[in-house]
Amino acid sequence: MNNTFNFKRFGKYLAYDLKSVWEEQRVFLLTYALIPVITYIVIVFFALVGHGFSMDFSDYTLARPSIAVRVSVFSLVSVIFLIFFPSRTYGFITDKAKGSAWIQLPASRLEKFSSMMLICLVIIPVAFFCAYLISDALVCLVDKNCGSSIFSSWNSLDMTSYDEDGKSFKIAGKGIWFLANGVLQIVSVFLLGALIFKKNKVAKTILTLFVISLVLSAIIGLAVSTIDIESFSDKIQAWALNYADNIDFWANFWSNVELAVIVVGLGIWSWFRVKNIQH
Amino acid sequence: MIEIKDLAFSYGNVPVLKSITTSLEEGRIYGLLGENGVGKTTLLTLLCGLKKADSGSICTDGENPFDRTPSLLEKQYYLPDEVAPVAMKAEVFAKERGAFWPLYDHEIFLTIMKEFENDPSKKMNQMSAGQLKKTYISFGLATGCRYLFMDEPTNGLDIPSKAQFRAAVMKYTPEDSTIVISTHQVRDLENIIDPVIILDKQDVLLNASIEEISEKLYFDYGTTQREDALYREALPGGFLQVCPNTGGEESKVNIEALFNTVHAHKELIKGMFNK
Repeated sequence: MNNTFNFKRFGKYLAYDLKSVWEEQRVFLLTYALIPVITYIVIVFFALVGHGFSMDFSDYTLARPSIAVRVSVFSLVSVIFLIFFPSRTYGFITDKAKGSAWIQLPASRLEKFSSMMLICLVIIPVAFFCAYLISDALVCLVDKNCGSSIFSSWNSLDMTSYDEDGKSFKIAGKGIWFLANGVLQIVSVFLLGALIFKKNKVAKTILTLFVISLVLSAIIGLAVSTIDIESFSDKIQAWALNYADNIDFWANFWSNVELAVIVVGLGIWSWFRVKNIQH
Repeated sequence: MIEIKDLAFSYGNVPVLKSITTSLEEGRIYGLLGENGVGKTTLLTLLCGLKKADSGSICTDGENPFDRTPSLLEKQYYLPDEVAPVAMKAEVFAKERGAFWPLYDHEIFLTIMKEFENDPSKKMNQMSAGQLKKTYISFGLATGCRYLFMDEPTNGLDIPSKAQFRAAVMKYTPEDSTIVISTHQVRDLENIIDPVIILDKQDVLLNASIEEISEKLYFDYGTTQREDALYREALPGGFLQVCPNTGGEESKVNIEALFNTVHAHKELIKGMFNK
């Protein structure tokens, strides 16, 4: 018997895991995915209660959620969902009774870990975004004046731009890449938090991030105070001018490296946590 | 076969198990007894790989349980004292989870549930503590595992269920299985556990079969006090006394009295059984 990884057993475990996640989390996922409908109903309701089909705020009239409101709500709801779902889905692993039952299930550690990562990093976010966009599309189907789709609005966003001496460049990555990047980072961080902390997983993870950022800021501050900042910025500027033709490539390269380091690093930490967890 | 050698485990700086050496043979139902806090649950969780030993080793069919390999996991089942109330119907939970144990028999699960008068179509998070425990017991027995570890299985069971539990353990566990039951309710399980393991903080005080115990100790249910009694307890109309069995007489082992005797004469009993 292959005790490390067996595709047939992994398939069986993944199906079991997915079904368990669906049984436990479907209400949570669908509630968040239906936010566009809920937002639309709330705004239209207040518009109806106010002035017919519009709400007047002196010189501003609101009859339905504008594309700006929809994109903002989408961003906010997505972040909240991505922060909370890892602990709701796999936080039970630190629970004595449920975690013991999970460990005792006859599948290898690698199979359980792979299933968890696949579900958290790919399946649930994709399912959530699809459900959210469908829900938003339903609103637009009812109200033809809703504007463009959230997806196209997001995807048309450039990740960043830079102007230097009349030269400008844009990082090739679009909003959808930015979205994927954000999903991977947020979920990796909060999944690890869910696996480490036994209680108040989200709050403790946020607090830990806050402490880490304070410590890193202090270290960077100390480092900056010891170097000659003027010559350092001259070097950076010289490097940017030297590589001006393919600066977008390098900017993309380094942001991808950053993403890979964060996701892989947190993934490795999660793996060791899952591998060695004791009850 | 489970071999435990020089096993030690501590919670931080507090040692719980120190240098435990013993073996658990197949075809036996071990009763794991001990005072509160001596490490019965800890030993069970070490045996099934939920904890990692600080030092020493556990070897189950040549494998370390903490490696949590599927080949060993599908041969063992651990029933904790506290079980999780899952938001699923018992029969669905058992069928889906049971698919991972190659010898799992859903018909046996349903039969035991019926014997326990437990409704398999009821959601587990709507069950009482006793019903939930009976569901997990039914599932554990239906897995057909060679190694079954149970922590206080009769806690929360009503009186008829305790008898049904004993009957189910005898009927539905494979003949070559090794069952370890940790319990304080020795009277609930007196008729099925053999051998008896009595655990102390430092050591295994006793690991002996009922036959061996009755060969070495005599359980006297008479009316006169004996001078050589290691332990004496007043009963209505007489005494229960435990004495060294110097005459080779047969007697019915009372596990509660045995436990009290062992704790009152640790070194004497260890010497007696290690000869």
